[in-house]
Amino acid sequence: MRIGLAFQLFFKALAGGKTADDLQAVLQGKVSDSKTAAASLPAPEPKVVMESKPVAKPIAPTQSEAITLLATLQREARLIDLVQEPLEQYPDAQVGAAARDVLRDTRKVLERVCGIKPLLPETEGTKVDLPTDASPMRWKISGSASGNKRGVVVHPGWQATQCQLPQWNGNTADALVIAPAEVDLNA
Amino acid sequence: MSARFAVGIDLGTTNSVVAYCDLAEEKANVQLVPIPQFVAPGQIETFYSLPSFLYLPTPEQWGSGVWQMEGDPYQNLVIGAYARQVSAEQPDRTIAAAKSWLCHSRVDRRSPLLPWNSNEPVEKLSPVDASKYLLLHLIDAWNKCHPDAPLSEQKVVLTVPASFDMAARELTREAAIAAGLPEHFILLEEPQAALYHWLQSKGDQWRRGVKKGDVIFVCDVGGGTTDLTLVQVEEEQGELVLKRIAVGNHLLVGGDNMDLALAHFLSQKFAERGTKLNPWQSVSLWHSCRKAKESLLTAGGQDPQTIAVLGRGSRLIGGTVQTEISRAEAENILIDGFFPLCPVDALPQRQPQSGFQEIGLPYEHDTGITKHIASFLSSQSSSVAVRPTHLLFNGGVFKAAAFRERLTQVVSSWSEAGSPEVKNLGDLEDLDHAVACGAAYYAWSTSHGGIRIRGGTARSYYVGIESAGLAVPGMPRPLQALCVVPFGMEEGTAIDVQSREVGLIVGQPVSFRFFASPIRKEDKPGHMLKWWDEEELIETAPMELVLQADAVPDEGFVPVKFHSKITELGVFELWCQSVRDNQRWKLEFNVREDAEV
Repeated sequence: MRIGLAFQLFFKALAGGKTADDLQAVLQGKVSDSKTAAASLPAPEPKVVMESKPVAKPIAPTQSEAITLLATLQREARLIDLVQEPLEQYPDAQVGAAARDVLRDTRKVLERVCGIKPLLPETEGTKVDLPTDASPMRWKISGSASGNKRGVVVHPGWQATQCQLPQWNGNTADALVIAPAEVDLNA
Repeated sequence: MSARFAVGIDLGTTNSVVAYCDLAEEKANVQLVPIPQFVAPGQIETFYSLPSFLYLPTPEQWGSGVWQMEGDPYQNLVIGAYARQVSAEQPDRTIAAAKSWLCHSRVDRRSPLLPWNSNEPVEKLSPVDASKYLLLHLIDAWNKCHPDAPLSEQKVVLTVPASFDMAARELTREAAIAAGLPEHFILLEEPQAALYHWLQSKGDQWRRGVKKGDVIFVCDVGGGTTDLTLVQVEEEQGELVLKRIAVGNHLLVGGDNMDLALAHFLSQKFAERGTKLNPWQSVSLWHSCRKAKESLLTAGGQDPQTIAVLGRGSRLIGGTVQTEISRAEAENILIDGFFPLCPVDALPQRQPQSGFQEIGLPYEHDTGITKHIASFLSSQSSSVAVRPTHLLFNGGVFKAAAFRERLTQVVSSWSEAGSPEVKNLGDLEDLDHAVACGAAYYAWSTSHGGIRIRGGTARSYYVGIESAGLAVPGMPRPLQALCVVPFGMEEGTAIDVQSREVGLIVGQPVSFRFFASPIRKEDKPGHMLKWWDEEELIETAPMELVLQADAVPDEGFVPVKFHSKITELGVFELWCQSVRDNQRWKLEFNVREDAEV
C-alpha cells in the first residue's frame, strides 16, 4: 500500500505542476494556510493525494448546513441583524418592536425547515413514566433516581421532525457567506 | 403507453400548484407535487406552490452559475419564490401576472412586451412565452419526482379562469403544448375545479347538502383576480346533477389590492408622525401588510396591533419604525373597502373616461367586490337577480373569517324575505390548493365514473359581418353579429350555422371580428343581431384564415357557411364550409392585429 503511494507521489512530484506544488506545501506543513473555505479544516495527508488524482466528475461544491440555516434565518427573518446589533443603546420598547417581527419570522422558518415539535406529548406539570431504557439524550432526570420511575414533566423537550434545508449550489469561494452586501445604484 | 397518474395543474395568476393521484386507485388519494425553486442566489428550496413570477437576471448574473438548477428546463430566467421577492424592488426585471396579460385583448399576446414598460435592457417575453416557462418549471418539478412517468404521458387537466374567453383559452393551450403538456390535455374552469374538490371531500354525501333548484355561487378571490361562477343543482331521471349556468367577467382585483390599500393607509399614518418612508421601506411595509392582513381581522386578537417596518442595513433595531392600526381601521379598509354592504342592484363604478388611457392591465376601478358580484347576479336575467342558496369560497383571501362572514352577510341580504340562510360549503384548510386538487380529482374521475359538472360554453359567440348597403362617406358600414356558438354549447358537439352565405376572397387574409356575450343566453346559432348594447357583446381577438388560390375555382371567391365545433377536450374550432363542395377551412384566432382595434 504505502509503497504504491510513495511511487505515485514520486512520479507526480517529478512531473511538476500543481501536484508538485501541493506536495511541497505538505512537506513544509503549509496546507492549513490555504484560504479556501473547503480547507478551513486542516486536511489530512491522504486527502491531498486524493485531490491530486484526475477526477472524472467535478464534485458539487458544498456549504455547511449550519451556514445554510443561518443564511435562511437572516434572509427571511433577519435574525443575524438582530443578534449582531448592540442592545445597550436602545430602550426595551424599541428592541421589542423589532424583535416581535424577527421572532415571528424565525419561528416560521424553523417550523418549515425543522418541523420543531415537543419531544413529549405530555404538557408541563403532568406525570409521566420513565421507560426502563431511558436514553440520556431524551431524558434529563433530576431528583432521587433510586427505584422511582415516575415523575413530573418540568420541560417536555424539543425535537426536529425533519431537516429540509435549502439546497446550495454556489461557488466554493462564497460558501461562508451568510448574507450578501446590498448596494443601491440609484442612491 | 397509458397514463398512470391523473394530474391537475393550477397555473395561477400569483401562485401555481400541481396535484396528482394514481389512476389505478379505487379511491382518489390526491397529493401535491413538491416544486424546487430558488429562494436566493444559489439557494434552492422546495415548496408545494410556485409563485408565478419570472425574474430576468443580467447576463453576468446568469453567467455566474448561481441560478443553474439540475437539468435546467430554460435559460436566463429565475422562476418562483426569489422572483416574487424581488418583484417589488426590480419591476423592470420581473414579470408578474403573465396570466392576466393572456386575456388582455388590447395587446398582441404573442409579442415580447413583458416586463411591461421595462427600462432595463432585458430580453422581453410575450405573455404566451411567460406562461410557457412557468409550465416548463412545473413540468420539470413533476419529472424530477416521477422520472419513470413523464408528464407528457399522463392524464393532465390544466385549469383556466372561468372568465377566460375562447382566445385566451386557445393561447393557454398554445403555451401548454409548447411547454410539453400532452396534446390531449383537458382545460377546466378554476371555480369548477374548486367545486370538484368539494365533491371529492364529501364523496357521495354531497347530495345530502343540496337539493334541486339550489344555486351554488363559487367566489374565487385570488391574489390578483376575482372569478365568479354560478352552478345550479338540477334533477335528471331522479338523480341530482350539477350545471354551471353562468360565469363572470375577468375582474382584476384581489388580495394584492388589499395589501396595497393597507400599506397606503399605514404610510399616511407614518407621514402624520413625521416619518417619511423611502421606497425600500414602502416595499417592506407592503410585505408586512401581507403578513398582518389575516391577524388584523382575527377576532380576539390584539387591538390595536403594531405594524413595524424593520430598519434597512444591519441597524435593524435602531432603524425600525412602527405605527399602530386598530381593528376598526383595518375592517374599514379591508372589509368595507372590498366587500361593502350594497343592494343587489348596485353597480360598480366605471373607469372614468380619459384621453390618456394607459394600455397596461385594465385593473378594476371599483374595488368593491360585492358590487361586482351584485352586477354579475343581476345581469343573468332581465327580470330578477339570481339568488344563490350556497356559497363556496376559494382563494387565500378567504382564510380570514371576517371576509367569509361579510360576503355571506351580503349575499344573504339579497335573498328574498323568508328564504333559508345562505349556506357555506367546503372546508377552509385547503383554500390555496383546492383548484389543483380538484383538477386532479376531475382527471381521475373521468375514468372512474365520477359526477361531472355540465354547462358547456359560458358565453355565446358571434362573428361580425359588415352589412351590404349604401356606403355613407366617413361612416363605417354597419356591423351585424352572427351567432355561431350558442350559450351552453356542450363539449363534443358541432353545429352547422344556418345563415346566408358569406363570400371568402381567395389569396388574401380574411378576417372576422369576433364577439362574446356572457349574458345573451337565448340566441340560437344563425341568429343575426343588427343592434346590441355595448355591455352585451365584448369583442375578443379576431378570427382569420387565408385561402390558397389553388384550393378554389377561378371566380376569386368562395361562398361559405360557418360550422362550429367544440371538441371533447374543450377546444373551440370555427370552420368555413364551402356550400359548393366538401371543402372547408379552419379559422384561427389572430391575436396580433387586435391591438389596433
